[in-house]
Formats: sequence, structure tokens, C-alpha cells
Amino acid sequence: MTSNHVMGIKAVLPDGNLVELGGPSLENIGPDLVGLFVGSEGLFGIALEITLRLLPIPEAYRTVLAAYTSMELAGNAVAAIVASGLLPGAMEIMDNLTVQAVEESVNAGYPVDAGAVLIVELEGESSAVEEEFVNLQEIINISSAYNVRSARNEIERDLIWKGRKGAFGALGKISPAYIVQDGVVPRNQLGAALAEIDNLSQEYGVRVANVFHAGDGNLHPNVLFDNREDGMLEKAEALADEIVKMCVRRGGAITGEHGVGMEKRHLMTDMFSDQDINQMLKLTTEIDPNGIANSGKMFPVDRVSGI
Amino acid sequence: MLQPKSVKEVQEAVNTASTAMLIRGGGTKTALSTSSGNETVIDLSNLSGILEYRPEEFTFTALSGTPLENIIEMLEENGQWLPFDPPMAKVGATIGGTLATGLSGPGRYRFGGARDFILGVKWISGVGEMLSGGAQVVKNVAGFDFPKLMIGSLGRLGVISEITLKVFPKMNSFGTVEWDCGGIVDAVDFVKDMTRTPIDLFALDLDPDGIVRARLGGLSTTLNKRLARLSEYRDGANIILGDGELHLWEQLREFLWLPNDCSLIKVPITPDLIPQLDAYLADSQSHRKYSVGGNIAWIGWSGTTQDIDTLLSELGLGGLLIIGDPGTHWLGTSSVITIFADKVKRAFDAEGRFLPL
Repeated sequence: MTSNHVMGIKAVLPDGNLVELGGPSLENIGPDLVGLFVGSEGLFGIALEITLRLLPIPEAYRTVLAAYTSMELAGNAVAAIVASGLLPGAMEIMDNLTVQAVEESVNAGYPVDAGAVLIVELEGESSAVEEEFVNLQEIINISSAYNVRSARNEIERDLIWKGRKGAFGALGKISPAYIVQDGVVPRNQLGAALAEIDNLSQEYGVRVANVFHAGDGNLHPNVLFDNREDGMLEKAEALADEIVKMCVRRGGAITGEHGVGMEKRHLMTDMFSDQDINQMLKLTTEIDPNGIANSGKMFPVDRVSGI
Repeated sequence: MLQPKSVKEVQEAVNTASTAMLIRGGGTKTALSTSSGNETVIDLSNLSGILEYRPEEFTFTALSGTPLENIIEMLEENGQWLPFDPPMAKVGATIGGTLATGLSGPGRYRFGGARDFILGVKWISGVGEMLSGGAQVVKNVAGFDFPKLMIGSLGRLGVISEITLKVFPKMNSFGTVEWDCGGIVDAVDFVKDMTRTPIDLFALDLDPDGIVRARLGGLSTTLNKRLARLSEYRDGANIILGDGELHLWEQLREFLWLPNDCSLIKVPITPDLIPQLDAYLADSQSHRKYSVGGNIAWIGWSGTTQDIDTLLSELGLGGLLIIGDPGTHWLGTSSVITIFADKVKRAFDAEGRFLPL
């Protein structure tokens, strides 16, 4: 995640003070103020300069595409990979609706009849990746995938990724509008969460196309709707909210990487207690007593004015 | 000294404390856990136990006074571990004390430090309120990152009571390549080269006499091949395997090189500044180790705190006194107490119930 790579931040606080947090060393002493600043959604001021940790480009990649008849089977494969001790650089799952949209749009060669497509990518130094790849293939081979493709070269790797990377754009081909949702569940809840999303989708009569980072339980259910129809936006938003609330009920989070912003500020109370939110507000009040730094983000409006 | 056995008792202790509170875990970091005046010491060594561990989820939640040793053992049984090599486990360090001090060992190089493994935290505020931040899932950006803020907070923003961490599958074999670069200057240059290698180094340390050590971990089937490749980076490579290798890193993680009469200081640094610092330390015949690719200097200091404070200031470095006499713990050009830190302290402990940062 971003935060793990940020070493130093020079920022101007809402009161005009310039502060330097962290620095050029990988290590630090004192409270991790860099960690606190990252993800504060502009409420602590403006970051002016940022020092990042870079890593050497991996020497080798091994990318595998596996097709399954159901999301559940793909999810089981991910669980088996995680349990094996492999640490893939990426594990992505797309559902049938997404696969169809992707194929219509970018033609990545995904099996259009697949209930789910799983992409797993190993990265690192050549000899280690080759050995891990043998293990990965063994796991995939017994994982009831009905179609498996390993990239033999950079072109084939790019093609596998072209589909995944084009997925969000591709959804525009099958729906006039959509909401990209972002929620997290514990990894052992993935199967159940996806089944519940499916149920909710049917209940609302609104299609949901799922793309997600399976390795860390980060779901991206995309709620597809026609914004030209009266009331559909509200309906889609209600469904998107329900999905995130379900994530929290299962022990997860309302956002894994997109942030809270304005769209999800009303959901903060689902995840945090009143006292926890008060503590966050106390901090913003201390740092930004006049509420001039990106106010309106992260917190329910009534809570901010109430303090 | 108060020794609460439950979160509720911590809340009671906080509410009854009549002087500024000092929070103590296993007491291994003497400079930070020993009372130097009339503080109310809250000892959390009885606030111990694993609350939840789901091996398939690669996360666990523990009470803050849980000894690292118990956690390491529990994870080991499931082929898992904390790759940041939390230090001082063998002498009784607790998980809470480790995170509150912000200490990571040599393994921090590859996968990140304590800050990169914490997912969720609960703490008791100065007015006895139970607060929480983060979540129990491995990815989450909702709300402010209070779990990270608690790393290095020395228990001075609140009493950390519960911690959720992610864990990793443990590599099944390790090996180390050691070179003698002849002196610190060449060793630093070599370390800088090694940080750019495509070989996934698990740890990268150097000694003042010019010894550079690079550690690899991974599948046993490829380890020898990888070690051989790593050896080619410089002539005179010495490959270390087996128990000797494990012991080598254990003594770095546990500070077994530190004489009993020395204090221990952690100094965040960059490789370029090491030769300069080392020249001063060599003059005073101090014990020292450089870890995490030259990003930490561990100093074993036998002089006065005042002297090392002055020395670090002259070099523009900051340090944290970990083992030694309590009282002054931020050393050198302490950039820790910034305007921003002051605001955070006020937001968390307006009444000054805990010691100042």
C-alpha cells in the first residue's frame, strides 16, 4: 500500500506552519506522524514534498490466467495459494459479467463463459520465481480450473493484464453509468460476501460486476445502472451502501484503497464508534481549528458541525 | 506500580492515577519503562493473552502485554512469523512495548517494519475511555491511521491495550553471505550497491570493521543457487548456513553484542552518513552495529547521555535512548517534537495525564 512506501513528507498545516515529518531514512523514532498524515484526505493540510522508498524492478514475472465455472471455485484457489505460503505480487478475480465486458472491449482472450477468471502473478528474482511457479502450477492444477494459460513472454503477460486493467473502462460498454464500490472483508469471508452481493443484486434488480484484489480481500463491486432512468441513481447508491455495510458486518472495512471522501462519510459510523469518530474530530479541530483544510471530507456532516 | 490484569482494570488504573502515567510492558527498554520521579507506573505485563488468531487469515489480535515469545511460538506452530524481527523477545519484550517503542530488527529491510504490520489498535485514553483505530483486515484506509500513530508513541498518547497485526508465511530456509570489505567506507559503498540488486535480500547489515552481511530467505530448493549468485557480487564471499546462521541474526536481533554496562541508542540514519558517525564512535571505542541497509545505527554507549546527545546534534542526527537511565530519551537533533506532534499530543491527551512525548 502507498503508506508503506512513504518515508518523509514536507507539509503546510492549515495554520500556515511548515512541518517536516519523517525523513530520508527507512527508520524513524517517535510517533509515526508520516503514517498518520498519509490517508488523512487533505484534512491535515497540504503535502508539498514527499520522499518515497523505491524498489528495484522485479527481475522476473510469471503470470497465470485460470478460468473457473464459479466465483466460489476461484476463491478457493486463492485460499489455497495463500495457505501454501506463496506471496504473489497480484491476485485478481473478475466475475462473468466483467469478463464479458472486457472481451467485448479489449479482447484479452478471456474465456467468455467463465464464471470467474483469476489472474495470479509472481514476481522477484528469476530462480525464486521459477521455483515458486512450479508450486503455483501444482496448486492451480488441482484447483478445478477448466482453462489455464501461463504467459510465455512479455506480450502474453501484457495481454492478460490488458483485460484486467481495462475492466473498469470496459464496464462502460455494457452500462451507461456505474458506481465503483470499494470494500474489504476478511479473506475467509470472500465467498460468503460475494454470494451476498449476488443476492442483494437480485433483490434490487441492479446488476453488479465484481473485480477484486483477492489476495487482500479488497472487493470492487461495480454497481451498473442507467442514469437516464428516474430513481436509478438513488437505487444504485442504496445498493452500493448495502454492500459496504455488509463488508463491515463481516469484520471488514468501508474502503480498502479509494478513501472515504464525501461519498462514504455517512458510512463512517457503521465502522467506528461515536467515541472513535470524536477522537478523529478532536484531532482535526486541533490541527485545523477553522475547518479550512478540505472540510466536508471523511466525517458525517452532522458530526462535524456538532463539535 | 499498578498492574492491571484486564482492560477494565487498565481503565480503573488510569482513573485513579494521581500523577503523570508511565506505561511499562516487559521492562526490557529500561530508559523508557523506568520511573525517574513520582510518575504512576502502569505495568501491563499481566494484560497478556491472544484474543484471536486465524492462521488462514494471517492476522492475530493480542493484549498489549503479551510476551513476544508467546506470539512467535504460536505463529511458528503454524509456519508463520513476524518478518520484521521484533527485537528483545528472548529477554521478555512484549508486543505492546515493541510497537510503542517502534522497534524492528534486521528483517525490517525486506518487508517493512512494525509500522507496516499493524492493522488495528485499541487504547485507553487519559480519561479512561476505550478508543480504537484501524480494522482487523489487511487492507483498510477508512479514518485516520491511528494504528501507525501509536507506533513509537511510547505509550504517551494513551495506554495501548489491544493490537491486531498481520503475519506472513515463514520462509522455510535461510542463508547468509558475508564479505569483509576491509573498512566502513568500502562497506557502505558496497551496501549501497547491494540495495539495487534484483536479488530479494531479506536483511542487509554492516559492521564497523567492514563486514557486510546479506541474508536470503525462501524455498530450500533454490536457496543454494541464489546464495551462489549473491556471492558473485564481490570476491571473498563467505556463505553461512544452518544454526550458525540463525544464531548470527539472533544475536543482532537480541543485542547480544551489547555489553551490560552500555546504554543502547537507536539512530535512524542514511548510508552516506555512516562513515562520519562511525569515525566519532570509533574514537570513543563505542560498540555499534548498522542495520537495515544502513538505515539504523545501534549504538552501545558507555559515556554520559549528555555526550552522545551532543555528538548526535553535531552530526544533525536524532536518537532514541532505549536501554539506559530514564529521563532524557530523545537525543541529538530531535525532530520528534514538532508543532505537528504537539497538536497530536493535545488532541490525545489534553489533560497531560501521560508523560510528555
